[in-house]
This record gives sequence, C-alpha cells and structure tokens, in this order.
Amino acid sequence: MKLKSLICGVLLMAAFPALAQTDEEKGYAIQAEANRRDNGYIDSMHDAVMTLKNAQGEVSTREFVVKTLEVADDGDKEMGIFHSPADVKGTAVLTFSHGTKPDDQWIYLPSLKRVKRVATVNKSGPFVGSEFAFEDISSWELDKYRYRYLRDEEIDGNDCFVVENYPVYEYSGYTKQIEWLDKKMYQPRKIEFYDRKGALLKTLTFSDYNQYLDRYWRAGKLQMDNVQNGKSTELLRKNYRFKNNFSDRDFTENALKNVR
Amino acid sequence: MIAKVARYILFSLWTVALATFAQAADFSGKAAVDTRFFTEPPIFAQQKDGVAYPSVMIQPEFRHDWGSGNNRLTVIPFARYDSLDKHRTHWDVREFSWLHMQKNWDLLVGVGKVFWGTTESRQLVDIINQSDLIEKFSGEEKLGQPMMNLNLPTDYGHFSLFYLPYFRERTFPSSNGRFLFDPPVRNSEGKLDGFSHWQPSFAGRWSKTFGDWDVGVAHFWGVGREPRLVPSFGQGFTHPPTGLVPIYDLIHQTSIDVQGVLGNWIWKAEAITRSGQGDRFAAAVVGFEYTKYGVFGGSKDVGFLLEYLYDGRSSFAPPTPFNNDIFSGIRVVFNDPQNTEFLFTNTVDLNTHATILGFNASRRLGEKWKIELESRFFANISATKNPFAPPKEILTGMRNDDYIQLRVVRHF
Repeated sequence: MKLKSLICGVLLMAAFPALAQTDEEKGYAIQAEANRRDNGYIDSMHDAVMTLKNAQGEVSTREFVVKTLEVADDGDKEMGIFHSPADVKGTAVLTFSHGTKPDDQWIYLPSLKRVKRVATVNKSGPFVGSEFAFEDISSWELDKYRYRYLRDEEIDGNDCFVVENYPVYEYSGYTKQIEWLDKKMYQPRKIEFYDRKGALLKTLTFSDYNQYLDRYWRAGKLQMDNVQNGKSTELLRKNYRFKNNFSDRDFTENALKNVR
Repeated sequence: MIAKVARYILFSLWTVALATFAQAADFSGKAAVDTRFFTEPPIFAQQKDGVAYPSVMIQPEFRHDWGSGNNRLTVIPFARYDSLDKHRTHWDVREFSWLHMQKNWDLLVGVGKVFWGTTESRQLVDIINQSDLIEKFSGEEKLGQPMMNLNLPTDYGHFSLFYLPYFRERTFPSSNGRFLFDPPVRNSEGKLDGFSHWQPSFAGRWSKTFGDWDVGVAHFWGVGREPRLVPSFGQGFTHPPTGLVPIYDLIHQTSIDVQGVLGNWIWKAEAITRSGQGDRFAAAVVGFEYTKYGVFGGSKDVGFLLEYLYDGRSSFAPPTPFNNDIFSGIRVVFNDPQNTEFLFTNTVDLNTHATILGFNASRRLGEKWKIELESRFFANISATKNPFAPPKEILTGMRNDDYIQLRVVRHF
C-alpha cells in the first residue's frame, strides 16, 4: 500500500511537474523561458528618445543610438551613442554585462578624444539625470536575479504571470521588483521597483510592442514613473534593425573613438 | 585665359562640393563668450593690468559620411578673439581629415587630434598633438596635427601607427598677456635644433584590455613637443636675460599608461622615459579616483582624487612644475537633468610648496546652453632672487595671475 502510493505519487509528479514546483522554481522557469525565447538575435540597433519630466512638468530630452551584440555564455555588449543634448553629442558609452559579476564600462568624451573607465558599482545611480537607474537600462541577464512566481493576472486585457525578481548582484538599489510578464510574448508589461526600505519607488510600463524576425518582441515605449518624487521619464525606442553584422571589434575601447 | 578657365572650373567644383556637403553633412559645434577676472595686478610692467577681459571663441564641426559609412570627412576649424592678449586672438584647424574604415583596419589622413593617457593632473604621455598653451596654460588644449594614422585592431591588442610629417611649435602668450614665464618667452625667436618644420616624427602605440585593466605602451621618435626654454641676453651678458627662447629637439620617448577599476576605485598611472634633452630621464604620475555614490540625499556622487607626480628631468630639459608634487581633488556630480558638476583641485610641490588651487563648475541651461566656471589660484610661489639665473620655480612669472573665468557656451 505504502509502495503503491509512492509509485502513484512519483507518476503524478512526472505527469504534472507543475504540481511539484515551488513558487521559486516556477518563477525561474518562467524567466528562463523568457530568456530562451529572446536568445539568438545576434545583434540589434535602435534609436532612442528619452524625455525627462520633473514634478513641475518641465521637460528635457536626450537622443541616443543603442547597438547590442549578443555574447554566448556571458552578458551582452552594448554601446550607446548620444546625439543630444548638444553638449554631449558624440559621447559614447560601452558596457560589457557580466551577470552577477560587475560589468565593464568605458565612456568616450569626444571633445577631449579621451576614453575613461567607469566604476560599475554605481548600479542605482540615475542614467543621464533620468528616472532610469543604470541597472534599469543595462541588459537583462537571467543570473542577475532570484525569482518567485506570485500569481496569474490580467493587465489591460493581456494575460500575465506575476513574478517577483530579487537582485543578486551587488549594489542594487532595490530589494525586489514585481514584474507582469505577458504570457504570449514572454515580455514585461509592467515592473514595480521597491527601494531599499521595501517601499514602492517606481513603476515601469511597457507598450507599443512589435515583433521582429518573426520572433523577437521589442517595446516601442517605456514609461518610468517615480511615485516618490513625482518625476517621470519616457523612453521611446524606434527603428529597430537586426542582422547588422556587428563583431567584437565594433565593441572595443578603440571603436568608441570612431562612432558617431 | 587658361588660368581664368581653371579658376572658373575650380570655383564651380568648390561650390558644388560645398552645396553637396551642406546637404549631407552633419553640422554641429559651439561658440562661447569667456570673461576672465584677475584678482591681482600682473608682475611685469608691460602686462595689461585690467581686471576683466572678455574673449569669444567659435568651433564649428562638419562631418560627412559616405560609402555606406566607410568614409568620413571631418572639418573642425577654431577661432578666438581675445581682448587681453593679441597672441590669444588666433585661429587653427583642429581637424581636417579623411577617415577610411574597414573591418580589420582604418586609416586617417589629414589634420587630426589624438589623446593618450589616463591621469587627471598631468598629460604626461600625450604627445601626438602640440599644446595650444595660450588657449589654456595647463596645456590640455591642443593644436591640430598633420598625420597619417593607421589603426589595426587585432586579437593581440590594438595597434596604432603614426607618420607625422610636419611639426608645429607651441603657442605662448604675448608680452602684455597673462601667464608669462619669468622672463617671458620670445616665441618669434623659437628655434628648431638642426631641422626644419618638415622634420617627420613617428609613433606607435599598442593597447589592450585585460579584464579590469586597460594598458597602453607607446614609442615616439621625432620632434619633442615640449621646448627647452633658454635665456636670451638681448642687452648683452652683463644685463639680465631679456627673454626665454623655446628650442625644440629630436627625442625618443617611450611611455606606458594604465587604468583599472576595482569596485569604487579607478586606478590610473602614466610613465615616460625620454632621451634627447640632456640626460635620459623618467617621469611618472600614479593615483586613483575613489567615488562614493548616492550621497547628499540620494543621487549625487562624490569622487576623491589623489595623484603623485614625479619628474626626474635635469635643468637642461624643458622645465616643468611637476617634479615632486601631490595632486588632490574632490569631484561632485549632481546627476541632475542639467548635469551639474563641481571639481576642486590642489597641486602642491613637496619641495617648494608652490601650490595651484583650482575650481571648476559646469551646468547645462536648457538643451543648447552651458555655463562653466573655471578658476586657478597660485600660492607659495617664490619670486626671482637672482636676475641672471632663470627662476628655480617655473611658475614664478604667473604668481599674480589668479583668475576666475566665466564661460557661457552655446552648442549648435
């Protein structure tokens, strides 16, 4: 009898693995699937317009181009090239993401023709004065977080998994994030960021999704609202281009000097 | 007649080129109004002793890419009008170059600008371009340099090779300006020691990233950018020297520059060894920048800078104030939408206690404007004791040149 029920139990677990999963395992499985679906695009490039708005409604904008190169078994290589404001035109930032290890980062200052190393422990600092922190815009790697599945929930008519993400890299400004992940696209619809005291700090909303190469979903609009200081930043991502034939040599300290 | 036709054809070509260029080119640049306020009267009788001296500058930038981005024409002229110093009223071609880019190499031909180095307090290894010393007396501003520069990115590092066919002399203030040496430099009497301005120079640099560290090793062979300053006795040897004459020499200089990141610490080092100006000598700058993030109520960063400067050159070599100095600084970055920054610096000579205090601040106004404050204060700088010998302290002539400069920049 005892043996029978054990066999039954094992068979049941094999047939319905979900039953045996903890919420942590399920959260990880969902994000691993998101990661799997987004792998293999090799490289991409897009134009970005960031609009910063303060609590008084004053607005300033930044325009930049982002180039990304996928790296097998490591984080992506990424280059951001600024076109505005005019005083930072031509400034370029090169980042090698490394999962839980600190990233490598360089900044090129065109007026001095100088490349400087940047300390990457500054994860929680604001990116170009916006409500996006460096850790919000750096490339997402599966290893950077622990996960926990919370529930299923509909958001604006889209079925989503709701998953908690706990940063495991050092120097994060967050205790956790709550992410609404679209079940069809396996892409985020919304992320809430909780500060070091555990209070809600910011809400990031993703919209205007488009599919590229019949596979990869990219949001055209990211809206970051800081609920604590009333400031917000809108990030528009346009003109996605894939298969650019980028190589490692386009993502070096020296390559920074010739980008425009 | 033929000359007339030729001129007409040339003119037409030029117009067409300009028109095409204006259509496709990327046009940007900046213009600025600076005003320098001097807090003390100058040392020499012939120097203008006003307090406020305005100055205007413009630096447009044209870039044009063609051939699916494999070719680029860059044109960056520069001009300044200065109310204090007639030498500082000057123009230059900062860049005028054709860059051809391929997957495994790129070549730049024309007038270019190249920077080597990592440290904050001194640009020791940076040698390709000549300093435009009247633009900024620290020597950080550079004149355009004619060059052919071949770059080869390889798996063994990045190789950069230079052929520099023409030598440009350093700019110096005029005798009624500020930041003079004691006695002042007589630039019109500058000499090249046994060669012409067409004396070629050659240089090569290898650089590579090793994890958290970037390393560059370079060698330069040709006309040293720093001149010796030799006293000239215009009124005979029984009178004190009337000026310093810049004399340029052929040198060999080997250098290394390193920067590395360890958590909040950025470590920086530069070192050179040079022959051709007296005995072979070595010089080095070693230091760090430690940054504390998210202070003063959240988003501001504070960086602490510390560097040690050593220079073992003899009195036969070009003079430097940085023989045995400590540089320290504090940088405050506000991380606000206007990108507000402050930088306080202090350079002290450990032997003479000669001190240069610095303060810089900048803030963007709207999308196109920027306001910048720059000031330097000189302290503990000894006056000349023996009028026949050049002063031991190279900054002697500048000891009363404390200034505050307010600059309003319009980017376009």
